[in-house]
Amino acid sequence: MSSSVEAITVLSSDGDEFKITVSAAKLSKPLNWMLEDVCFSDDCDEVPTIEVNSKTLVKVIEYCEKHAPRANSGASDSDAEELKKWDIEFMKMDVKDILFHILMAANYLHMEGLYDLACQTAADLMKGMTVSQIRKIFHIKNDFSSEEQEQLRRQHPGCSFD
Amino acid sequence: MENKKPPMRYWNNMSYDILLKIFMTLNMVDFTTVSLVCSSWRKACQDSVFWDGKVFDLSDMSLCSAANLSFASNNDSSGDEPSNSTRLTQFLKCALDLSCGKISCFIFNFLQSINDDDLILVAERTANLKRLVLPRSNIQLSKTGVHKAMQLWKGLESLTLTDISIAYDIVEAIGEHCNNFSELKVTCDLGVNFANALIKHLPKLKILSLQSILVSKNALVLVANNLKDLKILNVSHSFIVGLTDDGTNMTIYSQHDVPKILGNNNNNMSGILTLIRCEGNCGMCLKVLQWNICTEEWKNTKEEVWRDDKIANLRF
Repeated sequence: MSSSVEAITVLSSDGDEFKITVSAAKLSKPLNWMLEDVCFSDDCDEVPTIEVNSKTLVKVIEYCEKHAPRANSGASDSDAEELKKWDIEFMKMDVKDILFHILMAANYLHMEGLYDLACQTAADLMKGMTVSQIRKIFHIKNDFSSEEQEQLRRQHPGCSFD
Repeated sequence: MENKKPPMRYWNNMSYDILLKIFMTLNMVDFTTVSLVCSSWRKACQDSVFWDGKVFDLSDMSLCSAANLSFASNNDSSGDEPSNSTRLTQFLKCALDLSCGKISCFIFNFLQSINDDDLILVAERTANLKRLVLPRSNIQLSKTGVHKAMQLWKGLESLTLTDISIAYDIVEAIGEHCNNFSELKVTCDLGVNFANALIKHLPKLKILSLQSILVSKNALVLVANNLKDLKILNVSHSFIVGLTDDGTNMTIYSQHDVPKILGNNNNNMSGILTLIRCEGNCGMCLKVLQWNICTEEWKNTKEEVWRDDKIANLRF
């Protein structure tokens, strides 16, 4: 690979092209491998595909670009503080559509920081909620069979499953 | 740019490993709630990573939060609001049903009041239990209840015992049913009668902690002399009282006197028994002294006494 390349182009699973800087791509092990494996010089036509949809990939790249400078050089406490605030804002996203895919993507792309952040966000959404509130937030259908439900009800008469 | 394909996977079939990682950070109440959301989440909650050989610890849980269980409280149609203790029982049942009997240590909340049904409910769901920590006030237990529970806890090895009113029944039941029992921490007073009960029912006891409690001098000599397998005896900060050697005065013995008390007529000390004690007159010793001379104070076990121990296995 050519060291002069500063940004690479990748395809989302929907076929859209995205640019990501080399330093940001280094936050992900698989992307890093791609950097090493694929020829990214200007005369090379090959564009690698990342199995993440466009909507999610936009967010993943946004996260990488924000975190890359710090990951590469270390940062002061005030930077860390600012980054934490940024993370909180960044995580305000649609639970059903984006958070779900961010989790899958962060796991697939081996991005520890984003993965931890997304897991914590999901867990925070469950805290202090009732079963039905959680189902609503995460768009989950109650899929216990009527037998299972009957059994749970019998075993736990005080619990609400609706 | 919009994805035209129908979405293939959503939260109810989220990758199993990701679910485990998310659920890992939840407290027991939230954890139990998510187990009732859908079948795949329930399955994840039953994973051995959460239960196998783990400690089920209610000690840090506020009882209000447990009693206010969201999953148990929105059942308005039933009319009567269930009482707090009913909700707590329901929570325990819900949570322990996920464990498939795999937990090895159960710690009640210090202030939790439990009855026979609670104890048996826990015992039925923790067949592999090795260590049990009872709450401060367990006076609602009966002899029958205790025996029934200990029958289910055949593998029990270690116990923190808190309440003298039920201590005799518990020790007797353990002696009868739990063959591998070897460690005991006592947070109520140790008198001669209770010492004799220990000798009678738990003759194979290896580790005994009497840390920070009121111990009768005679009881101390009795257990040290007669528990032949005793390897470790912890009397740190204990408030030891008894008659002086000439039999004239009641006196409070300091930690420094303990080897002498035990050494005088002891055929065990020279052998395998390791004595654990503090330097004497430390901050904790003074606290214990204060508790024992203020008549109102001494009756109740202190949470810090219950939690702390110089023997690592017995503290949390």
